[in-house]
Amino acid sequence: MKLLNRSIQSYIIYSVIIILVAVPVFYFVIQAIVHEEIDEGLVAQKEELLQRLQKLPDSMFRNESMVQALGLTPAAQPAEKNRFLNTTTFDNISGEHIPYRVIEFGMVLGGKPFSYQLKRSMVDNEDLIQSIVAVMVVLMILMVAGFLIINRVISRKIWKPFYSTVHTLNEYDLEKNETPFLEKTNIAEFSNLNKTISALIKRNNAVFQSQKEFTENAAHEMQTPLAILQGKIELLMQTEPLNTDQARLISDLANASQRMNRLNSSLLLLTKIENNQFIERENISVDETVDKMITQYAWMAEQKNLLFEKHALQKLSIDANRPLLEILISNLITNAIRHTPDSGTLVTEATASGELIIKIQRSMVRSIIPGYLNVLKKKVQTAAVPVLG
Amino acid sequence: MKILIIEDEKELGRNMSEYLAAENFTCEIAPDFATALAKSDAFDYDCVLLDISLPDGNGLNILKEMKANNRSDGIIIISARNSIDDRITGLNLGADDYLPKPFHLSELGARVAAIIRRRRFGGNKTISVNELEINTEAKTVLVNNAFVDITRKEYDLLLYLLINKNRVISKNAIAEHLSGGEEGLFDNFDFIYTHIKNLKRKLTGAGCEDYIRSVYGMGYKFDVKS
Repeated sequence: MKLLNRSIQSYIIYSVIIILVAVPVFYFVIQAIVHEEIDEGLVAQKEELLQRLQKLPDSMFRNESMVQALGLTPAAQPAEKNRFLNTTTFDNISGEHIPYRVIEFGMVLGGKPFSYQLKRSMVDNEDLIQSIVAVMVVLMILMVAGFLIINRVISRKIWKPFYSTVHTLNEYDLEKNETPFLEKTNIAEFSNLNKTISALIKRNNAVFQSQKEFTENAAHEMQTPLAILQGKIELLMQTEPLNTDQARLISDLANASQRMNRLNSSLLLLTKIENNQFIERENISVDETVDKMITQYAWMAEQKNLLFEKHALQKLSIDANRPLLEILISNLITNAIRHTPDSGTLVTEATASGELIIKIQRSMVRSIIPGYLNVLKKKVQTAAVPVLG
Repeated sequence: MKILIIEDEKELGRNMSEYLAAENFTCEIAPDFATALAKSDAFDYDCVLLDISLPDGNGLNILKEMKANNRSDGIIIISARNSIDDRITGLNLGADDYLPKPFHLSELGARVAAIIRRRRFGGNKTISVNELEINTEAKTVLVNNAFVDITRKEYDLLLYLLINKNRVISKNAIAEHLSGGEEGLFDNFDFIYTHIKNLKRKLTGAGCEDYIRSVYGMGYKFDVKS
């Protein structure tokens, strides 16, 4: 997940929660305020009505038809308190249920208790509340959306130097020994990061350079004395007279110096591989390389009277460094030749799944030295140790 | 025949000159860039052995200088840096061969002989010792003017021994020469023994004297008293 999305995600969750909570709360608060207003109006209306009713002569309240005409309801007990109710009445004209706010109160007129209901339509108020809430919702959504968009745009802008740094680092190649140009930025954190990276790269380059120099120096420093040693041993061989003991010692010396040469050149190769000095990649046909190596070592195989057999189920090719791949395959083949008993058969096989298998066949027993190409691939690509044993 | 050895390592230079002197080469050693440049400028050599890493300059510049002056001396680059790039650069600049350090002196002898042979334009492409004759162009071997049927490896082996005649050649040197410089291929030298045995059998069978001697198990020697 991108950092950019990660921060925006939290904002979105927060905004949704706020909208979901705020809109109903807002609705109910507005409604409560409106009800209060209406109730106050109703109470005022009630006081006015009471004053006017009390001015009427008492005899009127004894007349039942008069009482009905006034809308008064005779009550058993004189109610002390005001009662507020919400009712709906069906309106024939608009064909809708219309909500009403009702106040019910009691009074004593002409010595008799009565109750009375005052109504007020809430149609307009409900509409008002709904409109206000709708406007509110639209405003909130607009605000949140705008906020998100602005945040995104700003984040994009802010993170641009970061992405440009990442891109530059992706392109960076230690082998090329160049310091990549990191874009200047006003943001302190990124300029700090770029500074740190630049310093790191400089150090890396220096270390890499000195490592490369070390490899070259090691080659020169070691190879020369080894060459001198080997030469001296060969000259010693030419001296006369020699006896058997001396000859044996010289022989041992020659073998030891030869081993040292081999070790040194193997070490140098490994250092080169570890220093990633084999960078050139090309698409190489594994079959052809194997064929080439087999031709090269045919004389070795002849010596042991070996047969080569080839089963190529498919063409194999990989992206690799040519000298390294050749070293790898030649090591595999010479090892295989070395470990095959006399008059055996060496089978190289390219399987359908893209593996290269080198098998050793004796008369009946089948022993297998598998050189799996995917393993090889990895080894060649990470430029690790060529298979030596 | 004159050989110039451009090598800053005194001991290595002495090794080479001592070994080649036995082959009747006159060797001069130039231990630094300035001397090397002066000598190569003033005299003609049959072969120049050039170490490219010198304390006071790059040996490749001597090579460039010589090529710029249209010199036809044979040049073998000797380098401690056995990298393909160096090899290609050297050969592109006109060197005849490239020998990475460390090398066997017998290998050096063979390479020098090959260069000198190649430079003898229109000359004799045969090397002969008494009844034995090797044609290096056709890669054939004749004993008393009759062809001997030998394999390519046996031919290489015979030529190698003959060029380094009267010197003991170590088994390591032979193994490396026959395997084309590949290292670490052999656990034992049985295959050399087989080749030598076959070669001796074929040569003596054709009426050739048995010149090849094993020397105390150290190596082999093409022994011919002149």
